[in-house]
Amino acid sequence: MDEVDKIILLTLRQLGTDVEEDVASLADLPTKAFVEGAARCINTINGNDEMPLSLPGSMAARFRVGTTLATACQDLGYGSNIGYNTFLYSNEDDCRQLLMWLIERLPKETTSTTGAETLGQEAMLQRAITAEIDKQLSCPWIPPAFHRDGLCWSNNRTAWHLISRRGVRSFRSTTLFTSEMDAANTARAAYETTNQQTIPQQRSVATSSLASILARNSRLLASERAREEELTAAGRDPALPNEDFVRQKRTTTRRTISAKVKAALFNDAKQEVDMAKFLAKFSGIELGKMSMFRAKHKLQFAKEDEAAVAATKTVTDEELKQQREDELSALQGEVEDLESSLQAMRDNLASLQSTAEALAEQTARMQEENEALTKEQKVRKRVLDLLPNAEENMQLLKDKIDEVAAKLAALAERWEEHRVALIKEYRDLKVAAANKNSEARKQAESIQELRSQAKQIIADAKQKEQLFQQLVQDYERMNKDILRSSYTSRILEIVKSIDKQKREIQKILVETRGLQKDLGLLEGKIERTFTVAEEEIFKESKANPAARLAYKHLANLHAECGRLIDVVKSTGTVAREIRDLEDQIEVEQRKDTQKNLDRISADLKALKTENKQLAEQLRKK
Amino acid sequence: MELAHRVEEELRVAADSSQVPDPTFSKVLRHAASALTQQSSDEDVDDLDRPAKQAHAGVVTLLAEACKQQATAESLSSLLEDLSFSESRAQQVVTAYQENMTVARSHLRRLASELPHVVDVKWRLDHTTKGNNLESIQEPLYTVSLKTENAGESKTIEFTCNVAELQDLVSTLKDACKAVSDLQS
Repeated sequence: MDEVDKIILLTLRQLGTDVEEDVASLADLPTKAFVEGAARCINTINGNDEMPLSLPGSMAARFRVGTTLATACQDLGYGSNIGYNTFLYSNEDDCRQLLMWLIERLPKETTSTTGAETLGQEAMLQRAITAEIDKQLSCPWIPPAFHRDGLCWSNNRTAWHLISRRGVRSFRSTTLFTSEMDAANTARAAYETTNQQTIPQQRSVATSSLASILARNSRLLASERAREEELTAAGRDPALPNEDFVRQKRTTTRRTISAKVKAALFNDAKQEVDMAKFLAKFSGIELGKMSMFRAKHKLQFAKEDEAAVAATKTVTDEELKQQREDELSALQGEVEDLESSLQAMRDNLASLQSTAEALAEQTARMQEENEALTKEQKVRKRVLDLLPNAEENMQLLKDKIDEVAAKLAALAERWEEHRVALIKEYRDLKVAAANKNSEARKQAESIQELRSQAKQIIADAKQKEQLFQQLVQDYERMNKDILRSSYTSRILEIVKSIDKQKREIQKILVETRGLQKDLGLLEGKIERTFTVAEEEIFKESKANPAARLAYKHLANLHAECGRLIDVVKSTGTVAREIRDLEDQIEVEQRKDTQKNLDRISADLKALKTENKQLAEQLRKK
Repeated sequence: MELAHRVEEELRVAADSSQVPDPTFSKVLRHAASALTQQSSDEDVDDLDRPAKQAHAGVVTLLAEACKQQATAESLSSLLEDLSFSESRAQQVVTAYQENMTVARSHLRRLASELPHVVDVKWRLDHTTKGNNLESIQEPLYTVSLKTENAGESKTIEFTCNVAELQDLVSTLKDACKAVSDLQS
């Protein structure tokens, strides 16, 4: 029973009952702790706090608490006899029985804590948001005038959160100047060694260094991605050196730019041509030139006018006017004359130009003719030179031609040989290159695959590690008072012994049944023997008086035997009853009836005094 | 955390003790950390040679990216291990990261496009008595002026509303408060 008591006490302690450390078995459990434990059990089962956890001082109230607890137990379905006395005047057995029954009915603790720990990302985010909001709400309100940099620092400057938008800036980045990785350009390398500034030193980024640093990484990353994509899309080796790629990219970009610019310029030129055509319509008027001419004349006229004014100061206005008009008309006539002569000269110039062009053309044509004639003359001269021994020369020429033809054929043959070999080589190399390329691509793919696998494995390992830590924590959190293995082994032992007992009981039952069968058999035999004997003696008794006596004796004997058997049977029953009673006595003795009776009588006395006091109080009133 | 190949190359230079000796490395690291927290550094960095400058650019970028992602010390050290950093150097970098992460993140937090923040509110209750169309209106009219602040710029939003509209505004604000306190644990 020790283990049972230990488990019960442990459970009670886990429920929060105030059980002294030195209490080792239920026999030592004080009534107060028992009542509290039972009340806590009932509260846990019912999921409320209705049951009082402690016994009050006055007897009547105690009685009421006991009754309440007993009713609650009966409501829960407790089968055995239960009343206030079970709680107030507890004995070990009742107490154990009741507590075991209650503990069995305790709701099983939810063991899904591990499920709650390995929540998804969403829940993690939710939790983070909750934590952040808690933090922000715990921070006292600060008037906006005191928001220095918009941050509220807490925990000795280890945590912060934003409380105002005062210090917030938009993400503006500038270009950072950093050293090139390859030192191909020595002048640049020298510059970088001596004069290149580190990122924080560069004045232009003073206020936006973080943004610029992040932007630089993103820009590099993006350009690398774009390059890779472009190269793979074009079916080229992504491992092409960067310079080559940059050069190619630059040329293509330049080409597109120049094409665009050219197209734009062409459009502009077209418009200009249109404008020129439009303006040409007005060329007959020649506005600009005319005005220039006029201006010149005006200038001259103005000078003359000044002189005239100086000379004829005394002339009257009308005369002056008349004079001027005359002069004006004369000048206009002059101008018109000049204009017409200019026009005539221009026409002349144009006609002269056209004749000059015609003449130049003629000259060119004649020169060409001359050249052609000179060539013809040369050929003819040669032919004439060769004419005296025509046969010989013709043969010579033919031979030469044959020779050249043969040479050409030989060369062609040799070229063919070379060509075949070279083409073969070229094809082989092409195939090899393609193979290499595909192999390289395959390898790159496999490397990527391996990398992703490695990443996955690492992630898995991390997850497992987390799980392991969590389980370790859980394990530590679990109470180690219960030595599980020892309990299980004990339980197994008990089960084994119960099994053995069961078998023995079965054996005894079989034996008993055999005995009963034997008994029945013997009884039957006796009965039959008796009837046979009775019949025989009854037959004899008609003739023989001695036999009659014997018959009487037999009947007596039978009756006596029957009575004897009855007595034996009743003895057995009585013995059984005695054993039952003895058991009962033992049980009752174990219940400490005497002690409990003493307690009851003491309580009764207390109750009586309480009653008396109450009655006196009543009377006083 | 994603780093460009160029940055990775710079970090490999930083990991190489033949190119960047130990004292230079710790100097570079201190300088980088001060750049991260935007404090003026008292390090004398004019005598750094070319690899050291490259290493500096790499380390600064790494630390900034790590702060942006709020990387754990483990992930950072595993990344450094991949970049062939020696254990002591990786430890130095991780320590510098942990020391400066909070302040650097506070700077990063303030790089944002934010909605304006309401910092103050003024109101006035007017009473409309009559207009040219109605002889008697007799309605209250609220004039609310919200003072907002964003990136150090103050701005005032002014509007007028009647009782129902003001009640709607107040209940909407209460809903918002409720939503926040629901999120609170």
